[in-house]
Amino acid sequence: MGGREPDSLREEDIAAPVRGRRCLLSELGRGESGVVCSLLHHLPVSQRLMALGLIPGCRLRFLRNALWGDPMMVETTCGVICLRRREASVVWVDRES
Amino acid sequence: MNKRAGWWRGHAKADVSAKRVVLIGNPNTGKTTLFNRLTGSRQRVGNYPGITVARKSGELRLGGVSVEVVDLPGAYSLAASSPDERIACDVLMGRSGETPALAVCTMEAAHLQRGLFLACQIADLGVPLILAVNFMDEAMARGMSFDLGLLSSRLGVPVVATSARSGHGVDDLRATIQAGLDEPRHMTLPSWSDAVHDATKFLAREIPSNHRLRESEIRRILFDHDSALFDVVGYPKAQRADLLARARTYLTDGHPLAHESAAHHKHLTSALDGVITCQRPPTQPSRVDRLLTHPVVGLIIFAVFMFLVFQAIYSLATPAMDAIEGGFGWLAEIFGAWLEPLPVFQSLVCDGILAGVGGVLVFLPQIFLLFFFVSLMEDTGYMARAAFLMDKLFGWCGLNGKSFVPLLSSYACAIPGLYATRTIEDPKARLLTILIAPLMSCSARLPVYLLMIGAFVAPVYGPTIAALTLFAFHILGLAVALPVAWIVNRWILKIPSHPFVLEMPPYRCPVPRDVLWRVWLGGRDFLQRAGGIILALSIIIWALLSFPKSEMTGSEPAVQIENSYLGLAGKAIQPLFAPAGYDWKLTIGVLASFPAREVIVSTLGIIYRLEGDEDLPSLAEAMRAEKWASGPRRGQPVFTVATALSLMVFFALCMQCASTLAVTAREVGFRYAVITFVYMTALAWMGAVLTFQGVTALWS
Repeated sequence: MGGREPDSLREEDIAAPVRGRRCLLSELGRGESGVVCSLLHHLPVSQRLMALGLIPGCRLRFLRNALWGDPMMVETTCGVICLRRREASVVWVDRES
Repeated sequence: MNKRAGWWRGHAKADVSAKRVVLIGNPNTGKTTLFNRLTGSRQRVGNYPGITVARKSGELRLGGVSVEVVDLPGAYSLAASSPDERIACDVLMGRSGETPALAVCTMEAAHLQRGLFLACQIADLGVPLILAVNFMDEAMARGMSFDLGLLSSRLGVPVVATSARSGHGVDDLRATIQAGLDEPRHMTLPSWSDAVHDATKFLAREIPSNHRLRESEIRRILFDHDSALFDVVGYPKAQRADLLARARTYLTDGHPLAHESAAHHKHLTSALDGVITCQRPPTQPSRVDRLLTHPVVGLIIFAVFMFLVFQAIYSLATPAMDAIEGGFGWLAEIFGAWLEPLPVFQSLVCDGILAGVGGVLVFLPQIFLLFFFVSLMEDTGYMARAAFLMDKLFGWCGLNGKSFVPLLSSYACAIPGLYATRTIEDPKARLLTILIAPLMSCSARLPVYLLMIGAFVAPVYGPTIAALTLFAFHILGLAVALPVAWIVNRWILKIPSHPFVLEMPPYRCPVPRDVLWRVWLGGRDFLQRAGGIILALSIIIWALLSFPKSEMTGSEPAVQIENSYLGLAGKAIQPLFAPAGYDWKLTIGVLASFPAREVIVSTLGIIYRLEGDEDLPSLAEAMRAEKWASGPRRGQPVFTVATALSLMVFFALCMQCASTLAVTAREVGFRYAVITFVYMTALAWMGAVLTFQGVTALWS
């Protein structure tokens, strides 16, 4: 439904000084942490993730995968949540070293 | 406001004047514990009309005045994309009965902002609020401290600190509710921008006016991705996207769908400034948690744990079930002797009513035990971890990690399994799980497997093959069920998928009172809601087997079964089962075991006119001796390996359990009970025919 909407985040991505450190939550690797920068709002799951506290500025840390790499467990400032990679790919994160 | 409706409702329900308080909050915020603390044992469980969410309400006594407390399902936001999720919104808006006088919003002290986000949404609907900040003890132990007075004065509503588990603050909350009912307080929210007002005005104009949506509801339509409130107004689905796109052009500041979140969080960030004095230091996940959620070690621990749980259920429930069955057998004997002069009544009481009541009660031990273990798993926080571990296995066919426990418990019996699906929040995954749970090889199938394997597989192929066959038939159910779920999910059920996003609650020690209470409510619920139907069905089946009364009274049960309605039906539809290799006797046996598959053994015993007890070896003997009386295979034995396998496949796949159907109808609606019955029976017939024809072709 909303898939045709232009992806406004790409522009942001290019303009950002942190380019190269920005990735999707689903791409976050073992032991990495980051800060939520934005979500793909046109997808329904974004609203649910925001209600769970994944709002821009929220810090998070990758904890672990289940067997076969999915779903993933992430620690955020508002608790530990588990989500499938598909759902995690609507969140843009700025990696922290 | 609606006097006439109130007038007739007044007769049906005496206490219409009772004020209603709703309890709402994020999952895992101790809402249920608080509900139990507030209402004690004065609780009622019902259903919201038309949907499958259980409606829990209870009575709270405040200085002699009775107040109805409604416990809403846990939610992170009021954004509702399915009818099940709409319930919170509907209750808050007074769409299902009276408008609530007050909402108590529970939140976890450690995650205050997230809880307050929901509170903002409730406040925006115009419902007076009380905030209950729960798990205060836990947060303080982590070194956090709160200035709730400051928060209360900033938000304009009472804020009560509670620790529902120990009971701290519950009296305080009760007093606050009483005060709140006398003098309702609304949470202060910054007013919406002009852009939002313009957009809601636009929507109010565009959506037909006779539906009387309030402005706050229109805001929900505006902010939510795909609001189920559109269903209330019956707005055509095709035009919704277009209408929303036009309305959302007013919201230019940021993405329209993030507008509400941004506004509330901005407000909350300033409201919370200085309220929490010590931010939670980032805690390392404990070593135990690392083990329990480890992709390999965690799975092994889970498997061992599940094995122990089911071992416990099996070893604890079996004696109780035996005792119940024995007790009812004893009762049947007493009543049988007493009603000797009235054979029809004797049969009705012994074979119909007592068998029916016994058939209901016999499930109780398993249901109690399963609820006990499921409550333990949920309340300790382990259920969420188990769902995390198991999700990949079930995700591909539309189920999710939480389907595992119900499916596994269906291996013992589908009835407690169906009740265990209540732990699945996603309505679609829950429905799918309910549809496939009866395919799991429950313990009632075991007698059939043992009979057939003992009679036709073990003597010919030896014990190893026999054991493998038994194992294969236990796997068959699951092997068929997952593709069925995939097909139903892909092509039949048109319900949008929920994202699988789960919060991992902190590990907590369960409150014994809550666990026991849930066990009791589960059992009571089963008796009240399914017991009647199961009883009625067993009496109907009894009647079908006992009428018309055959001429020769008494002596020959086999003649009675042959000439009963069910027996006549069996003879009539035997041609349907001929491709599966069944003669009319076997067909009657199959038909008679539709109410409960385990009766096949005793029914076959009666049909093959066994003297005395129907023990397996002598029945196997009788079956091996059975020859076709007519038709193309006249003189050949009825039972071959092909027939035996075909019968086992039929029993593995068929919906031969009236109780499961009754519970399915009660949990998700009559429609799905019919669907389960039809698809499983069709599947069983096809499976049986394929097996018989295949095996026969291979052998000849």
